[in-house]
Amino acid sequence: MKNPIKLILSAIATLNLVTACTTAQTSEPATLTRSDDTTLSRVKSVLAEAMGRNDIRLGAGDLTEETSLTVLPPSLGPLETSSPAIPIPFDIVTDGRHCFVVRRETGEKYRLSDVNCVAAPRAQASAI
Amino acid sequence: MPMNRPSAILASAILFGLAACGGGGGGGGGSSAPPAPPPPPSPPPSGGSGPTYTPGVYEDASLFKDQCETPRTGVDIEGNPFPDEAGSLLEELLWLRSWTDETYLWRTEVPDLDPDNYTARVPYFDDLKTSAVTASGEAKDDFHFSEPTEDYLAARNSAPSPAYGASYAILAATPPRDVRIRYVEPSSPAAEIVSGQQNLIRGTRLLSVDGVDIVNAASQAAVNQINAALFPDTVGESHTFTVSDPGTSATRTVTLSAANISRQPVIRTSVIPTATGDVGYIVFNTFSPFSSEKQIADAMQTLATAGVTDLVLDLRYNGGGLLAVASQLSYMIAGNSRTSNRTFELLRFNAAAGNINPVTGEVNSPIPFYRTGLGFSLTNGASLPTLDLGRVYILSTGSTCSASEAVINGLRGIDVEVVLIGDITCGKPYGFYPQDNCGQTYYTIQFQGVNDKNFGDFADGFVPANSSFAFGVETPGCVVRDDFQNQLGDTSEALLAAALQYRSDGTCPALPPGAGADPSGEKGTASAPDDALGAPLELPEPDVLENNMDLSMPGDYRGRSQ
Repeated sequence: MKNPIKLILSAIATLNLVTACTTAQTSEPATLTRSDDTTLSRVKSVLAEAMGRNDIRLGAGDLTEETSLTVLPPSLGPLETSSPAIPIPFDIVTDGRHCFVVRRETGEKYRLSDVNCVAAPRAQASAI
Repeated sequence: MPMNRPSAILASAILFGLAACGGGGGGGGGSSAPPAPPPPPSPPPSGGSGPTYTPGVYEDASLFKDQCETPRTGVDIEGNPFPDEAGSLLEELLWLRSWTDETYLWRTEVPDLDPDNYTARVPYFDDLKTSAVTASGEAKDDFHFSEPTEDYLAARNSAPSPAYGASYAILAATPPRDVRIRYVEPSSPAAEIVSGQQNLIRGTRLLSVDGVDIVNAASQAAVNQINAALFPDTVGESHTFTVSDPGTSATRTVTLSAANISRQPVIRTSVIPTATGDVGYIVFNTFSPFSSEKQIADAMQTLATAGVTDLVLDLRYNGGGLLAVASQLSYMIAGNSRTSNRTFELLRFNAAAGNINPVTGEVNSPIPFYRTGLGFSLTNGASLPTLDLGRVYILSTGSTCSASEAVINGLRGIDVEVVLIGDITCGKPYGFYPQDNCGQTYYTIQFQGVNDKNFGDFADGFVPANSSFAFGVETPGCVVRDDFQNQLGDTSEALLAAALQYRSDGTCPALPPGAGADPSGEKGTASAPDDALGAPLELPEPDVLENNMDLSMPGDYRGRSQ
């Protein structure tokens, strides 16, 4: 990276992320307080942003019981007989004020606006 | 905001880094990983007035992506905006050329074709493949294909479709035609009991429909009528069939009304008592719908609870689907100790890709033997049952394809003995990521699946050891013709009976005449003689309910002969 401006921007970005993830370390696994259609619609809206696609379908699991969720891949076409597709897991966390989903494979974190959650009991939290 | 792009991460970090993670932002994203450096700038297309073709020079495919001769506008049926920009046919062809060079498994075997010699994109794509052949003499790449993206999206988003819930086998496509039932979906119109008789059963022969003679009708118009009745377009559409059941010459009349049918992955699970222990039996017909994860796990749990000591896994009509579910199934068969720290399948891409998946850009990690639910239809992390078997009996035909073959290969890779009963499998160790560009979706072979022993050369299929085929990967087991006289799961059914016999004393039934020839009859259309009297009956395009087909026609061995 030869461009000094890019270097500075990168350093600022790294600093921001380090600070952000220091904050993230205080997050606790959480479950949603409700899983009605309105809540799920809000969750899917955030996940659509995270996944970069509009059509979001959630995998198995009750989000009022589980501290994680999965986003299903697009359905297979009839000719896809050897598909490596797998669901994308996200963890649900809270910092005590707000709820977030965290993409497990990358650590990317997205705030769930207007969605309520509660910290999971310790035993359930340790499961993730 | 697609956060996997370095630039997006950079911008996001600056604008939202604190706010997002700290809770004050509005849905931005952060990352626990430092931002990756931006990729080096791509060289600009050569020439000052647009791209040109230079033999031997392949520019980055991303330079030409979505540069369309006829750009689409608006959103697709999944609600995603079209990415198209105004471009040209030349840019579409140059994208195909560079994308093929970057991702095609056999990239070094593709000729460098001058786009100026082509006037359309599909013929150009059709020529961007290897011309090599396999040991059987068939084209190595028999899977090269494209279709309008609109059709691709419609197919993968199709709701349950109108059908009777019957899967057909065309044993003879020309007069005298022989159309049978392979199996029926549970709880479908075909499985309905009327006056004590199930509407259709395995082996039922269809003789006429709405007065049209299925067996002998000669005209194309009649064939069209037959096809229209076999594959109804609307729910509630009703047709009356004259049929005869296996083992009897008597006929009966059945009226079927189409309903919305979803294909069931597991249609039978049973425990077969024998003098040497209970044997589990599962008919598993597809790895494709996400429900396959739960259904096969539930079936295996049933057998684990019953304490079976062997398993006959019926994959004779299973054309494949999700490799992850194939991995889970293999784990449930083999158990913890055999699969620990072993690879189910590694996707081998072209050599230039190195350790990177050239399609996703991610590190190419092997597919492990998944030990838990992945979240398709089982909760992510849920434990899977195991049978802990060192041997499994797999029932096969030419329709046993792709992910089904991955199970065979994956288990052989960890020295689980796979006994193959039936016929040579279809031979597709390859896969692809469908890719849209400018409204056409392209399928080009991008990877070959290899097992823990780094083996994946089964392009001519797996073949039972006593077959007369001179090709295919020889596997312990017996050649047996598919048996339409008996029901799936009946211990008299020929493939299951042979598996039980082999398990009992290690012997096979006598070879049927012409052993190795297609037993399922699905190659009816392919084998129709040129001078046949009457129009041939052909199954329509692949349908997720009827035939989750490979690009090759299952059962015809892609044209191979002994």
